Amino acid sequence: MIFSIVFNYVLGLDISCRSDDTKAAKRSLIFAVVVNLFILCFFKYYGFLVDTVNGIFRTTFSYKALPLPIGISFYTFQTMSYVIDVYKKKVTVQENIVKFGVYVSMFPQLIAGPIVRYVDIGRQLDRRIFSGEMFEQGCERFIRGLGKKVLLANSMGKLFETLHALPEGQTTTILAWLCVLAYTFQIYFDFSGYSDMAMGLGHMFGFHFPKNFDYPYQSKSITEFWRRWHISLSTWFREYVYIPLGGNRVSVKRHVINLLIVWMLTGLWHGASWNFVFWGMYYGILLILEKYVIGKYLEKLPSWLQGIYSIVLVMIGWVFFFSGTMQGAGATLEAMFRFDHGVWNGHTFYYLKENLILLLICMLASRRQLYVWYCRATANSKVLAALVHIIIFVLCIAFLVYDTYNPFLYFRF
Amino acid sequence: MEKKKKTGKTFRALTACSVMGIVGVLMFAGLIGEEKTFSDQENRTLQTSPDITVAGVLDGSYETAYENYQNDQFPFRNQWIYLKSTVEKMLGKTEANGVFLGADDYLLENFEKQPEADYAKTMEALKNFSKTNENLQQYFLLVPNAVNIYADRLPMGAPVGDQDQAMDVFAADLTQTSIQNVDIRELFRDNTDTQLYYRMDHHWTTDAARLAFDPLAQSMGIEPEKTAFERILVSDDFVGTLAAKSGFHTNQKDAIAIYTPKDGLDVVVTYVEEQKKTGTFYNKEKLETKDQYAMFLDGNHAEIRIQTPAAEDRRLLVLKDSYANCMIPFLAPYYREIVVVDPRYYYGKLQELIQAEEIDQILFLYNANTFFMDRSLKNIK
Repeated sequence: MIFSIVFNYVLGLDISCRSDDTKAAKRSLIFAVVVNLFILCFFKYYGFLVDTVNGIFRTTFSYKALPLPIGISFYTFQTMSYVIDVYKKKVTVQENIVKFGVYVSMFPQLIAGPIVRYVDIGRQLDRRIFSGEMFEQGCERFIRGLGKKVLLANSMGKLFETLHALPEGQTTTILAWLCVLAYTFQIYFDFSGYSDMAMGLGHMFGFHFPKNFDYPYQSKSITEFWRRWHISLSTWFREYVYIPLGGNRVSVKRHVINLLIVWMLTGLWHGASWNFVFWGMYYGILLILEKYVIGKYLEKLPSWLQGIYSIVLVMIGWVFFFSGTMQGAGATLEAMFRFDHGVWNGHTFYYLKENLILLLICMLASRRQLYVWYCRATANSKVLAALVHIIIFVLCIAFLVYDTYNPFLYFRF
Repeated sequence: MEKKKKTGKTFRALTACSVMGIVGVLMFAGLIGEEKTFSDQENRTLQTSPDITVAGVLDGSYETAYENYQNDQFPFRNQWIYLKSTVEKMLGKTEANGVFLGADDYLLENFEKQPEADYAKTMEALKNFSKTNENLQQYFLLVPNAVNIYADRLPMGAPVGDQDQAMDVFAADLTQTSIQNVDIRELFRDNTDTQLYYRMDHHWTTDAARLAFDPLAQSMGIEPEKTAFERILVSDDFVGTLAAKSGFHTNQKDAIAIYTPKDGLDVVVTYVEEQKKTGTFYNKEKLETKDQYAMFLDGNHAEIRIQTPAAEDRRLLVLKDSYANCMIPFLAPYYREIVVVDPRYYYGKLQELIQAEEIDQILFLYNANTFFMDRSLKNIK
């Protein structure tokens, strides 16, 4: 990471010095992008490439799994956004290496995003406003994020693991859907919880990070879903891949190809294996279909049906995401759409009943309406707002302490 | 006017201040709090402040120990755990750590089975063992657990293992040996009036053992009517292992009863490895601890010998788990000597023991949950 900081810092300076000489600046830019991508690929995709080559050519190159530097996917994208924007003269060059280092390694968002582009934060590095009110807001946001992660994501994660481990014969159709639903909630609350915590911490120290999630599960189409899910990543790909490729101001054929490239890369960014690539392509194809084929029909549907259409497709997408292999994904999908193992049984009732309240809470918490209610209720009562956050915080401690609850199970019976 | 403005300002940072207050209180409590070394609740020793050494830091053991220390010594640990289980209960959860919260406040431990291969090895070992000791009478009492007998108390649709089916398979397999099976499942199912299992613990009650004693005695050729027993309550505040394992709190507490012969019985109980002798089956000191069931035969020991002045010179070997501990007092009046061996802790040679003690009968006594998980019988010879 230190290498990354120094390297991009120097190249940023370099590009800005040569800004008069377009060709030289371009050379430096290409050099910077290639080196950044090479580092990322080397650490993240080395094993994947070797595996793929072995698979295709039936060779047996062995490799040693490299330890992944913490947050490499995130900070590589951040530094690239910086050099590209310096080249495009969207931002002025940062001459202070310490400030640049702060930007790259800022701890709140290092591990799990959001990917903060230099454009959004460059100015704040020089002129930071720090106030009690921001500290308070940041603190509240952090607690909400913590609550999402510890109370909701972890509980859903446990449900997902239990259901996913059930033997095939016991998985009814409804249980298979419940399993995927649990994952759907887990990944949203996990990811958006981390983002909230990062933004909260940033806020406490006077930084404004851009929003990363905007209630994606209430989207009415897949296109809308990707405007609301992991916004910082989709923005990055739009700014630095999709638009440079020509965006949508090209022929239909070219546009389709552009979209597929972007979505393949998006999938690959999430992890170095084929199921992620497939997951990306799945969305690429859905977006193309929405744009050119079904979009106009979709608009005519009642809005609740649009909502169901979107969430079902998103859930199917997650199946590819959480299954390590394509066979695994196939098995899960089969369980979701087969009816000969039974749709419903006693266990189905049990798992539904056991988790009903939690699922309802998750459903509420993933919609904007809850936040609107909260704002209305606390508009005139700061005490109530504080109370809500204190309760969440206290519950988080209890849940975290309970995770270390470890009764000695082999009581010498 | 000015005052109002001021309160407004304090209130604006209310969340931040409260949260920092909570963190502050916890840190302070952690600093002044006394270090605890044992958790009654969890029945294990807690990590205390680790000593820092260069080697420990380098191999990471210090860091692990330090993390465990922070977790184990977290201020108000038990209260936090209580809070979490209360919330879970409010959310409608009826399962924690493999324990179900059933009707009438019964905690029922789920039934899990070891892999088929391990079971096959255990049965093979039992077969060989019974053949070696063909000339002795051998019996197996496999006690069903609450999850089986009290299945109707389980939450509706609870995903539990099928213990009854596993016991059926076992009964069939046992016919290939010369061990006689004593099946008490029907008897237990018919006796719904008796409390057969503790609500908060995984053991059976002494009343259940009393009930099972009749068919067992009949099989073993002893007359259960010969000794009149008197039922005595020794505790009414037993909260056992299942409460600890699950973290579920109910207001229920269990009573513990013991049965002593009306005419009295002089016994000498020898804990062989510990080289300790007493004149009673019961260690009442254990009633002051969390694990009150350990009052029967002082908990679990590798080898215990019980001598009585019984008229007939009959000698019994019991191979067992803790379920036997409250059954032994019923058997005692009929045997001059009972040798009680727990194969999980016993490393001596069983055949030599059988020869030396001139054993006539062998009784296996296990509860099904332990038996189907246990791997120590695999090595029985």
